[in-house]
Order: sequence, then C-alpha cells, then structure tokens
Amino acid sequence: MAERVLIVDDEEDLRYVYVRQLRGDGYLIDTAADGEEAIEKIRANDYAVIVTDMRMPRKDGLAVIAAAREHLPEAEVIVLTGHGSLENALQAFKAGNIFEYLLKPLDDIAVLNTVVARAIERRNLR
Amino acid sequence: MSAIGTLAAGVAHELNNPLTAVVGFAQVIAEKLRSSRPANWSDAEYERVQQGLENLVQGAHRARDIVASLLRFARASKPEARAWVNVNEVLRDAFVFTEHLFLRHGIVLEKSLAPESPPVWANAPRLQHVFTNLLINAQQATPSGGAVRVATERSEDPKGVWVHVEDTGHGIPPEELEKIFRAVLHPQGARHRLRAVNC
Repeated sequence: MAERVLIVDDEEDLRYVYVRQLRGDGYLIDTAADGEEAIEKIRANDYAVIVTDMRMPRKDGLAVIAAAREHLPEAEVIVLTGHGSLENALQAFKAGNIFEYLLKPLDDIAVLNTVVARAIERRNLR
Repeated sequence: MSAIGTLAAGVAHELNNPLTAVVGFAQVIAEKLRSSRPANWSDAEYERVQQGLENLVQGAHRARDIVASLLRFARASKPEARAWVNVNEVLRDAFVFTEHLFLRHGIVLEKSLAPESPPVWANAPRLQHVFTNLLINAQQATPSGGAVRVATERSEDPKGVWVHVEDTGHGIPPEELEKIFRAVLHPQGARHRLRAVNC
C-alpha cells in the first residue's frame, strides 16, 4: 500500500511544486494550507511523512509538529522553511520528532524526493 | 534580536518563499520541455531556453545567498560585539554583495583564500563593511577588462591573517596614500591584527 504524505505550506505555488515533485514516487499526497487544516488531517489520517513550513497562519509549524508527536508518533516530520535560524531549528527539534530541517529554496527540488524516501525508510525500520 | 535583525529575518522568510517557487517552477518547466519539446523549436532555441531556465535557478540561488548574508549581517545583537571570526567567511559574504558590480563592469574578480587561516578577534559585520568598501573601491578604480585580486594568507609574526586587495586600476597618488588607512578598521586591543594592503 502506498505511503501517505502530508504537505503543509500556506503558499499555493509551493504546494503545487512539492506535490508535482513527489507524486512520481507513488505516494498518496494530501495538502494543507495552514497549521489548523494540517492538524485536522493529522487527527484523521495515518501519514508516514509530514512536510511542513514553519510560519503559517492559523497555527504554525510548531503546532503541526506537536500534533504529529501526539497523534502520529510514528510519522517522520520534515521541516521546509524560508526562515532558518538556530533558534527556530532548536524549537522545532524540541517540539517533536524531526527527521530533517531544510531551508528554502532547496538547491535542487529533487532533494525533497531523497529526503522523503529516507524518512519513510527510517519509519519502516522501526 | 535587534529590530533590524527581526526585520531581516522577516524579509528572509518573505523572499525565500517566492524564490522556492521560482526554482521549483523553473525545474518543472525544464522537465516538461525535455519530455515534450515543441516541434517547431530549433536545437539552438531549445538549448537557449534550457540554459535560460538554468540561469533562472542560479539567479534564485544567488538571491538566496544574498538574503542569507544580509541576515548574518543584521543578526549582530550588539554593534560593537567581537567574537572569533573566520576572515574567509566574512570575505565570501562581501563577495556576495559585490560580485555583480564586477560582472557588470567587465572586471575579473580573482579570489585566493588561504585554506587554513586562524580566526581573528573582531566584529564580523564591521569587518564585512570594511571588505565590502574595499571591493567597491577596487572596482571603481579598475577599468573594464581589468582585474581585482583578493587573497588571504596566514601570518605568524604578527599572528593573524593578511588580507590583500589588489587591482589593475590607476593606482593611488602618493599624496593620498597615508589617508587610506583612516578608512580601515584597526580594532584597539585586538589580539590578532588585520591589515589591508592596496597596491
């Protein structure tokens, strides 16, 4: 059965790019335009990987990470943010189970495929 | 974080999001063209568009690097704070801000940074300011077709790092020579001294 991935970003263009990039790898992909929508979906579905932005309206990435830790402790979370700093990274790692902390823009969007694949691999090893 | 640091962080976020879209869409378009190239496009036209898309991606990466440099510059919580600073890294930040000037004026910027140089006790943003000014001065003094060379070398006596900025420009008149050091930072009490030499 295909692994389920949740993409969380308030920018529609970026959700389009990430979905287009990942769909070729055979995942079932859901999207959320803000933290609150993401948390609703986390409560309702079993995601293997959650890719989330940090700064979003209606609940930020930290809330998404905390919700994932509470409802989907087996899910791997990948942070993909345009506002990277040591403080933000520490906050994210303290909030939950972060697999990777990536900064926008990626050198190559294909990095996303590699990181998601590795996250699923780690999840499946448990 | 200072007010300007907070502002810079906000700007970084606001810029990095559209830059991600630029990179992502450029790669999507390039991939689409590779899989279904328009029949009426010549080879030259196709290559030119692919190169253009690659340039788009490189431009977005360059903008990202400029944003990151700006963020580092703005993050100094105390304007006079000093720390152990890697001179090569500060120079690289200065290159990010000034390289476009050299390109635009047809001047070659040669970099020869010593791979292992000791950290210096300095204020990084002020140092970057000095290097940026030196590079801009060198560019303005150098005609098109000329070159500016930046090199660092380890110094054992005095202990520290030499930074050389040389250009093929018209040179500094002898009567102006002693004035150039008034513009260069000599932090008092610094354990490692930094000197800039113009030739």
